[in-house]
Amino acid sequence: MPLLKHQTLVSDDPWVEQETLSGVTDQFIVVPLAQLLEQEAISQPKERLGVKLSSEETLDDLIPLLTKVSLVEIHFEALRDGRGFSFARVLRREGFQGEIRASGEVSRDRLDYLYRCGFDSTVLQAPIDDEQVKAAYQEISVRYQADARQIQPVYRQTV
Amino acid sequence: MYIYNDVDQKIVDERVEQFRDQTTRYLAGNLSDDEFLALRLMNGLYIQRQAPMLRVAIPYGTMTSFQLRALSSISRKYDKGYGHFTTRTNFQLNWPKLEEVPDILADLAKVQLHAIQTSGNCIRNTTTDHFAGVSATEVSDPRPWCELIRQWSTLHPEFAYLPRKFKIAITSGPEDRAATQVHDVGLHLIKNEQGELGFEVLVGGGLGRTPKIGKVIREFLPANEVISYLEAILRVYNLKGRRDNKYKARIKILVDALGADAFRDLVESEWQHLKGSELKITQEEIERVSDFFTPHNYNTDAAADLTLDKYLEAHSDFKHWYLRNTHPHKVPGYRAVTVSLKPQLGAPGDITALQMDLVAEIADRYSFGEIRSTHHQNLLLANVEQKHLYSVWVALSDANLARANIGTLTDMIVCPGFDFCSLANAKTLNIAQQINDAFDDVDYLHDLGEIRLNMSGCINACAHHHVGHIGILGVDKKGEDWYQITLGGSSEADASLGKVLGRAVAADEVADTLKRLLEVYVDLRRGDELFIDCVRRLGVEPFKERVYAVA
Repeated sequence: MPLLKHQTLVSDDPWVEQETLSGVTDQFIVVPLAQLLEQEAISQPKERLGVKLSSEETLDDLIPLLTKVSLVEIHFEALRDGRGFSFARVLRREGFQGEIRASGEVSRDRLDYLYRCGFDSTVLQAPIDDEQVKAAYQEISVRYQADARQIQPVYRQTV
Repeated sequence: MYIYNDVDQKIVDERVEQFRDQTTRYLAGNLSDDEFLALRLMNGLYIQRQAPMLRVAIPYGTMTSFQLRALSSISRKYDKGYGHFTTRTNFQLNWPKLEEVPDILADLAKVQLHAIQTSGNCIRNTTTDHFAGVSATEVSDPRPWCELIRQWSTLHPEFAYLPRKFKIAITSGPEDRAATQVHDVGLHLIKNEQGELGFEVLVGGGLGRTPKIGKVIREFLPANEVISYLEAILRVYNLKGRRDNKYKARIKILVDALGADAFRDLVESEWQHLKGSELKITQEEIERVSDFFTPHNYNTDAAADLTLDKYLEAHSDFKHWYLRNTHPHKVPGYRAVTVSLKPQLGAPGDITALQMDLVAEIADRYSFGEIRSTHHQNLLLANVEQKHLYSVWVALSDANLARANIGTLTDMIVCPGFDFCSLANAKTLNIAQQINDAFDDVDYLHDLGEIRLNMSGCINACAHHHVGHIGILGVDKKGEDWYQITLGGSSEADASLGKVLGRAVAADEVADTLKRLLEVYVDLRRGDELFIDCVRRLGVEPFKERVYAVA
């Protein structure tokens, strides 16, 4: 499945999904939120630990663990499920500076909104070429409102 | 009128090309039905019973004459030469072709119009009082705030996939002509004791299957924090609103489930992160937008011309129209004129291309080139000098736009019903016609006075039947259309939900049932007591007795 990172197709992503967390590994692993919550102590170094959260889970449980991970993957369960957009905004507001990744029911026509809400990377289900990627991020070139990337609404930005 | 700057224009232009590309990909089979559905809805495009339907946004119901002419021309070029105004002051085309919609949007963009977010689970067009700026009782003009909210909500990246649609209405002053208490968010523009401008904030009103009156969650919000506060409300809703059942997904259900106090706590806690931030609207921006809504260059001697009195004496038809279809204006010598889209023959809210051109021309000559669409599915010429009223009446009469029925029984709010809408259970337009035929006596209608009749063809309540003084809901019983009647609703400052009269009546009995109801009113009213007041005093019982005793 194609992966976009900062608006570019990439093929050298180190992160791998893992169902359980035990001990320490050299790999960059992403584990389900439930796994992290079960741990009494987390020994995997922060640099190589990511967490995956379904859009149907609540963010509240994750927030205390944000200092232990470098990547948060938000899995959109349905096309019409827009909770993930707000998840990303809240994660940034809580000061999370790691990578926020979107997966699941996300597609080309939502890429720009995802990016503007603070997502760094997106796993797409359908193939996409560089030209389409460029179009997805540039077809609307001006924005009225503040977002995670541009904290000032358009009228506050000096021309 | 707000005039687009380069940013505004660029957004609508780019949006047209974006939608053109989406349509091309869909027609080429590169975009799934489900995916395109969500995208086209956010551009106001429905697939209806007979054809697609395109809903064009009329932001807070305000148009210029050149915009109305463009709607007329579009309806001729791409549709059947007519259009329809909705209860949320938007404009619908009933017969566009899917592949031509991008061209329609491009033509709209040329006159600073668009269809962005007129449907879909996102923030819809913000509506307001059609007398904004001309009402003597308003605290401050709500339109600049509507425009600021329009810009903030347009293509908002976080709130495009909400649990359900989201509607905001703003009003200012003691009257509520924008049904703010039955909106997801209702904003009342007020001043506090220090004379500062702000909003009373209501949340969780709505109709549909579970009608609710909105609850006040903040008594005074400084006006320049309205965006930050709305962002807090929307974020809480986006995170917590139900998504498992579309009939329980509106914010009213969330507010009810949590209780207004708990909901308020969540919003206030989110708002602590947002207030005073970059979302606070700068004074410069408020002034920039407000400058588009400064008062017109009124004739200060308008009240001195007394030819109106002469015409009123000479023409009783004109007088009827003057009394029913024109309204007080804050400037002496001016009136606001309702253009009735409720003719004897014709669907409520419909208007032909020819009529649109004519209204545009009258607006240019007599009302500063501005036209408004109203919550009641009529048009308004908000600024007509009294000396021109007779000429305006003559011109409107010639075009069948001067039926003297505003605020009366035949000024019905009616959804398109089964004839057009794929959600509807029952027809509405035939019943509207039946009512029009049965109540064509002008004197009788005027004697009955102010009555709001709202009729919906299904429980989604697009015509707000719960808040009609008389509400009619079409239901399907074993393949036949039946009509359930409610009494005592109101969407105004004294908002209330109507009570069901009794069992539904058959399609051919609706007008007769209304006649019996109104006989009870005429028999039992005290002096000049209004219908709604009479119903409130007596309850539904006496009405019920008469209606079902006869049947």
